[in-house]
Amino acid sequence: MSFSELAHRIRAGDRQAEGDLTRRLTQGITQIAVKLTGNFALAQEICQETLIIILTRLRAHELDDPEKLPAFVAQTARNLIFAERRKQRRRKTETGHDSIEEVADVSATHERDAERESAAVAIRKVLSEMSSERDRILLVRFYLHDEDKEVICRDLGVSGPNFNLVLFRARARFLELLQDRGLLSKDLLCFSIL
Amino acid sequence: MNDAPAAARYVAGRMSEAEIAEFESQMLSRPDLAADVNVRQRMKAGLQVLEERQELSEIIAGVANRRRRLLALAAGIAVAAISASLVVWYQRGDRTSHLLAIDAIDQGENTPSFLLATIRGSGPPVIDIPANAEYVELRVMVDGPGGYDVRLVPDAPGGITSAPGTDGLLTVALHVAGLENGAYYLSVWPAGKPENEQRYPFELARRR
Repeated sequence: MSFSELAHRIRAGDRQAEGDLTRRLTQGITQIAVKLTGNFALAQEICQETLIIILTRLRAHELDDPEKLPAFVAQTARNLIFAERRKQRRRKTETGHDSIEEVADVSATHERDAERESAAVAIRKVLSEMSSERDRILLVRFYLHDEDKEVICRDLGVSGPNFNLVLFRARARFLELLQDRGLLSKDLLCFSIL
Repeated sequence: MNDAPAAARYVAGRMSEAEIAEFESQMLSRPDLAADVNVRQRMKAGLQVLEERQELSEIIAGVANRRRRLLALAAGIAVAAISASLVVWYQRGDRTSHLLAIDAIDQGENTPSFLLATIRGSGPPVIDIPANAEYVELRVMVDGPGGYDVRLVPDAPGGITSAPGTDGLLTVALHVAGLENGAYYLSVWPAGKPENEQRYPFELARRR
């Protein structure tokens, strides 16, 4: 179903369409928020707030161009993140430290650390299970230092298919470990794209 | 847009504002693309944590693995010491240790290592080894320092050697290539004192 159709049905009061739209957008909104905040827990909160705003808007008004809904959603998420940043900056300049917001923020920080820690545990295990130091270097250069595949292959003397195989296995194992820790939903099971 | 390089460039922050807007719209339309970005961001976050803790270079070099094995060995020694202290009364005067505990210290790729200690109430353990394992390291709690002789029964055609450690454990290197699955026991006695033999039965099971 197209965004246009979903938007039209939500305007008409179709709750199932709201669920469909939510499922379709959740992962993307969360990733936009993670990218901008580096905070997994905060990203989930931003995602919820974004969805509430979007659904409220769609229930009340027709969009001028419903096919531009993704752009509208992305901008809404960004606006919420920038507002959150402004709020945090203001909080840092205040002298009082016992507000509910601050407590909530500390909690979110802990959540973020827990998610990052889980990722660290999983990636450490992935690296430790790789038999070749060259493969470990390959993985770190690609995923941490964001180096180009061609450069890494040339430096390490690795063929393109072998490069893909190393990353494919590493990603599959990483996902498996996170799933074991109950941290992944089924929609994360995407590791065919390298 | 080619998905993989685009997702990589997005996570790396190497996109123009226009590219970001286009990519994010695509990501919102395609949960599979969002899932790919999710994996990349989590892997990156995990690696950043390791780098912040200055652990990454050691892990890449394989040093951290070896260190963890040593820690596991230390933990195993502690287990052995506790086990041994609990059963000294039980074993006194008994040459045959038919009650045996085993703790896998390290399941390395080619040389798995196990800790053997005698405790009450357990039967012969199963030493589970990878199909390609050539050697198994057995660490045995012995009564004191000095030389020990070891033997595998039935005989190990590939050979068996031992060396006392400074940690109160006797390290036995058992060549398992060619050994059939089945029941064995490790016979250990102080050099020149076969009457003080200790036996450590176990089941050898090689994974297919």
